[in-house]
Amino acid sequence: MKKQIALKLAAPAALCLLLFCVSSYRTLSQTADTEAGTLKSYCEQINLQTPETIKADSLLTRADILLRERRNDEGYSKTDLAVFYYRLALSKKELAQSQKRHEEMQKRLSEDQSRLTAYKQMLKEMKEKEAQ
Amino acid sequence: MKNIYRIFLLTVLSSALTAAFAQRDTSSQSGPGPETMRKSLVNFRSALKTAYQKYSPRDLHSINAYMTALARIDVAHRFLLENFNQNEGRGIIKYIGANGVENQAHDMFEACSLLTETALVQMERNELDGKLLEATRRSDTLHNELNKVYESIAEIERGRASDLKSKLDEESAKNRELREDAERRFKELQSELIKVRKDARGTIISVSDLLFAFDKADLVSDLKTALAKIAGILSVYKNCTIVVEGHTDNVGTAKYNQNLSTRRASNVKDFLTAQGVAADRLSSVGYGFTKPVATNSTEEGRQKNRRVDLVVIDKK
Repeated sequence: MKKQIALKLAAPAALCLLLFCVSSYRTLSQTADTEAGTLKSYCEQINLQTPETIKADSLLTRADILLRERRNDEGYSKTDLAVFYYRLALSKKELAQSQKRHEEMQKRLSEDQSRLTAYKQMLKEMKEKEAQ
Repeated sequence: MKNIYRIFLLTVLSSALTAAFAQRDTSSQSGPGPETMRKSLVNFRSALKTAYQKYSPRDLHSINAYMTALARIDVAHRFLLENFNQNEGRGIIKYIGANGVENQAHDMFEACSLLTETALVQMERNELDGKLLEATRRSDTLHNELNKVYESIAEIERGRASDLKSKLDEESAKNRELREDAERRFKELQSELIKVRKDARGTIISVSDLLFAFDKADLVSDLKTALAKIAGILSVYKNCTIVVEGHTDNVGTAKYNQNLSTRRASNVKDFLTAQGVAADRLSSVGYGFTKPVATNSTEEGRQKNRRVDLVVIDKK
């Protein structure tokens, strides 16, 4: 009796397990897709258009086609690549910003240094005059 | 120096990529051959490790990018070794796996090159951010120094201003003293001949026409002493200018009286100059009978109108 009940339950349980595995797989695979989509929107939002973003866009388009054709491994691989291209583009942008900030800071430092030297000289002359 | 280093790294990376895509195995459909990819992966790893030693990144992003790139390189390297036939001494020469593995290898290789470049860029950015922080600190120090110098200059300026104010106050007190002394001495001089009064223009010393001979502009010698005393006071009290004004009564023609008053005022001015009052402090003008101080219908009034006024104006 118990054996029969167990057998009756085994089939739905196996089906549920299969559905769970498939949905998990889809969720996991969607992560990269979502990340790529987010990065793409962000790059568009900040108006970042470089050879890397163009390449990433074309890879995403290719990935969509592959996924529609159920060539999932290849599709996700292309999505992955697109993510890496977007990240590279953003990293390069950040580097350029840092370089610009650094150059500005160096310029400001140089100006401040010159001002300090000039004022120190002025102070020295004033002190000498006072002493006289 | 760091820029040269960066150029070197990027050159290594790009040459590796160029070589990889240029030298394709005949067995491949597209992209670099397996052995070329393997060698490039070794170069990527080497470039990453050199950069890591050089920059010593401290931020999580750079370290994460570095670790991820290394891990992916290892995976890709293993993948190549496992899926492609190795010919001892001549490297990987032939694909032995199933269809699609070659494309997978190319994607993995491309991912590795991207991750390597990203890690290098992030490490450099991290280095720059460190420098920026250092520069910001230096800037703060400079500003502090500048503020100290500004403060020292301001202190000296304040001291100078204070000294100047003391001098001005001293001078002002001295002038006030001199003016009071002059006024006191003028009062002492008051007589029938000389009257002192004050109005909006300043102190007015009126000299009677008894100082002059009748109908003449020449000063009477005996009465010059009083005028000399005035000159003595004016030559000491220098903070003023003097306008010598000649006035007459209305007896005679206007032209005649104008001429007489002008000459009398001029003579008084010359006398004062001769007594030591600086000429640039003196000026003279004749008004004839246009500015009476009393009625001309009585002898007493006419007597008052015949006069020379010394208008003493304080300098501001």
